[in-house]
Amino acid sequence: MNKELISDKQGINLTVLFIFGSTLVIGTGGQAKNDMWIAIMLALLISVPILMIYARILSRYPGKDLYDILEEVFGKYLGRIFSLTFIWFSFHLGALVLRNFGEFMNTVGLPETPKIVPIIMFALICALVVKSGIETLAKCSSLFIVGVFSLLFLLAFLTIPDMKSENLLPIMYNGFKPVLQGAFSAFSFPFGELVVLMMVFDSLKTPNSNYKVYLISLVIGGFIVLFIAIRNIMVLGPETIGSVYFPSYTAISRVNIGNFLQRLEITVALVFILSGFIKISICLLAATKGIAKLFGFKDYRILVTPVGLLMVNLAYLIYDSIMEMSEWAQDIWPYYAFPFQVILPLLILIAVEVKAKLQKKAGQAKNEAQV
Amino acid sequence: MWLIMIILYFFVSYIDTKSFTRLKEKGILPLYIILMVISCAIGTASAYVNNLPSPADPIKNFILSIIGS
Repeated sequence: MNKELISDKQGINLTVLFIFGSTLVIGTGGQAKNDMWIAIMLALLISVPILMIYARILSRYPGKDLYDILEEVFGKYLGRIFSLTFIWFSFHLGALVLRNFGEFMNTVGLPETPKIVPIIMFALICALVVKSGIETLAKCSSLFIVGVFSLLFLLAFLTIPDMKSENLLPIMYNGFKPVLQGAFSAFSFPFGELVVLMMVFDSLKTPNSNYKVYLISLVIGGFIVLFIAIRNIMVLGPETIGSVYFPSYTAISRVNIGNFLQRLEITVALVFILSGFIKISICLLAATKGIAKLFGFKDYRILVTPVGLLMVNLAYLIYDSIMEMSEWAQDIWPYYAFPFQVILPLLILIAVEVKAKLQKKAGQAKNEAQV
Repeated sequence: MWLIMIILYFFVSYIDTKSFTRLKEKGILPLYIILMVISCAIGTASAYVNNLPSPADPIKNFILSIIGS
């Protein structure tokens, strides 16, 4: 099988849309209420060193994905155990985003339709694109990003009349603790989730461009997320944001320009569909690649459909209601995701560096012996 | 509903396996079938449980319906 390659620009597009995923619709850092924007800025700062850890691990082994690196660093058995954890994380994350999509559709557009219907439809489309490979996915992202950005800027422009800057005040009225909680939440969703891209970034054309791709994407995606959060606070206020499941949808539904330009909330659904599609596809790709490598197969494409259908099952069974989904995303997800996003990558980095030093020493000793 | 699920899984597998003609690694087929069967079993069980008469305690109802009481 020929190795698929994507350019840095396509990598950035993929990463930015992955960051947007469900974040733009569901929102993040809600614990900080009207200080959400400070929490997101803090999360962005925290994310930089963590993303540098991801990039460093990848740059040590150019052209290899996380599964290959794990097997090379930890050996066949321990490496596969580590791989299994990341397969689960990608698979679970994909299922969660799929469920977010199902709940969103069920709440705002199709209340009478069973939740499983939009979930299956979306998953099958994602499976189809993943079967076509990362190159096709990257090309899709280059196309989608234009639409997503145009819609975001247009909507931001149209919400200006509804913005009230006093909603941002008072700053840190409840102290720094909620801000820290919000920052932790915003870090784990969506910035820390970029760990999943370590399983697909072996396809980057330029070796060692991971740093560039991760940093540029974080800056672009992070600032858009920050901007959307500020917009939502200014339009809705902290109380309303806390009481709705999809703040962006509610914020955009308030747009009414001269009783003519209104009911624009469908565009939020469009942004969610485009970015969610990329995020679920990447998760599915990462999980499928991992399963194929775990069993020693080179071609992952055949497994995409069964893994996608398993993801659908998990997405359908994982929550009983939208309330449970919201509670999980806000209260449990940050702690659940922390080991996958920070602890394991840190352990891997230490192992990679130690192994590199040992190899260097062994090489030097060999040279000296030859001399 | 559960019957529809099984038929759908067969249909999807049939279409999916059509593209396997140029497959180099034939060993992956058992894994494909195992994953499909697991997925189908979960989907079917979920559909069966969700369509039981009382939605109050689906897991208990499912077990009771299996043991026949």
